[in-house]
Amino acid sequence: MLGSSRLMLAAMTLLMSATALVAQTPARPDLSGIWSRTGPGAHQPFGQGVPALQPWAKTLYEENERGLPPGEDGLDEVDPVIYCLVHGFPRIMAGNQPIEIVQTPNQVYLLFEAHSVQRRIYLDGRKLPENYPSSFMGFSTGRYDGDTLVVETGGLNDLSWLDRTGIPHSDALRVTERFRRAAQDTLEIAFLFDDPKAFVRPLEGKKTYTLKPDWEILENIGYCEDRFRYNYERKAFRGTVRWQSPEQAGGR
Amino acid sequence: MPECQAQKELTMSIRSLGLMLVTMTLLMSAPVLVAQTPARPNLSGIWTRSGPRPNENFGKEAPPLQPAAKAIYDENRKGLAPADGGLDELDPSIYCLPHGFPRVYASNQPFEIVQTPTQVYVLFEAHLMRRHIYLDGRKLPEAYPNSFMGFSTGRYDGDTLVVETAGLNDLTWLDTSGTPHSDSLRVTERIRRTAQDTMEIEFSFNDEKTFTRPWGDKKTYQLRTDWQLMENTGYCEDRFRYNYGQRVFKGTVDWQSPEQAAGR
Repeated sequence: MLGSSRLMLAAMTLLMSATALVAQTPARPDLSGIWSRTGPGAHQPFGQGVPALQPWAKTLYEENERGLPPGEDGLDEVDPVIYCLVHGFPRIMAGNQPIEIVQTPNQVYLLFEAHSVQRRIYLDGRKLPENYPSSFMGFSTGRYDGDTLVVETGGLNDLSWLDRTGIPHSDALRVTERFRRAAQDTLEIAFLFDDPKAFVRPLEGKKTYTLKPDWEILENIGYCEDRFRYNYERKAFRGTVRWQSPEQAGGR
Repeated sequence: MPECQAQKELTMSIRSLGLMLVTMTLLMSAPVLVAQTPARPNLSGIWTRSGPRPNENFGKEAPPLQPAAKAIYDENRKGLAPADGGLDELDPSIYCLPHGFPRVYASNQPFEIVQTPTQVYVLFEAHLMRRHIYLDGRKLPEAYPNSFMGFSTGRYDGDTLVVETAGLNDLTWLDTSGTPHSDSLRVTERIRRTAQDTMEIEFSFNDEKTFTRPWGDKKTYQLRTDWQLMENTGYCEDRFRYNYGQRVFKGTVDWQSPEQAAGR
């Protein structure tokens, strides 16, 4: 009897450790799914009004908004997107094209429909390496803080606009995001933009996103002159559009 | 009395045995719970194509092209040696277009595979492109817009992930050599991990508007455990122009636009 009790105890211990193994993955908020920014407009600014900008940034901003009322979408002809550049982070977070979040134990992926780009958020404790080449989407690390995913991003290039209004930023921009599922179908992200080279003080913003369980992410590579030209020429080559290149017209 | 005591002990033993049995059953069902996700080959990680050349073709010989496709192919390769890639000036990538599928698999830039129970995601360093491979049984919807990466569905067949792709546009080259394809192209891939650090993909191309018969090739990829995917948006004239214009505006390059030169 004593023997069987010991066996039982051993069995119970095993059972408990098996359960512990199952629960090994730390509890984390479930942010996975397809999300689309809540609210009107294809693009939105992050904050209210025009932020306090350093002189060079103010000049550039005024250039991007020349002839427009403050806070309007920046001029198309100086918009990086028109030149086949991607929206980049953080601007892409203020667009209304859907975002799919995929969570794995070591990484969180944000897969964007716009320009088919993605962000990769490392959860394994690595840091932004020195001399890391700056990029449109930046280098992001994250950690879970209770029900919130806290993400720090650096390593951004200075080619993209902060948002559609044409606010410039430098490559010193660092962004902190706090992702929280405010309701079953609502994701809230609080943004803090810190860029002492471009902004007089850090800017804040908050956006909410709605879960779209029956949506599917499509492909949108973006439009620009080069792409249009190629597309057109190809169709011409195949005879679906009547067009001749200067060389063809010259009888070559 | 002794008999009674023995019986009591026996009853208790039986009871503890019962409890033990319940415990054991629970214990046995715990691993079942852990293994609830169906067995599937682990393909996740960062991979690069094996082989010395940065860009390759599919197959060792010229593709089996129909006459109209052969004319485009010859145009794309006018004046080139058999081993060369297609002409730069006709290459869609030069016009800011992504390589597209399947050409992106002939490049040597790394890609990352992320597996979840319902989807396999393939994230490419080249042009930041991505594939979504649906495992939930959905089919290519009718009138689905054509795209550079196509619409992919997959299923596990033992140790192999079998992927079917359609819904591709006809703007991309199939590979580096300039092989054209139509929007009827359907690609089957059989993806298998042949060793701990080796993945093999068997590609099969079926496009009755372009090829005289289905054909294909096999490529191998190596696991890069210590690599990290970088960002490569690709180069093209538009991007260069903007980049340059921005530097000019910020005063890091000495240059004036015609308007600036005219004093505006």
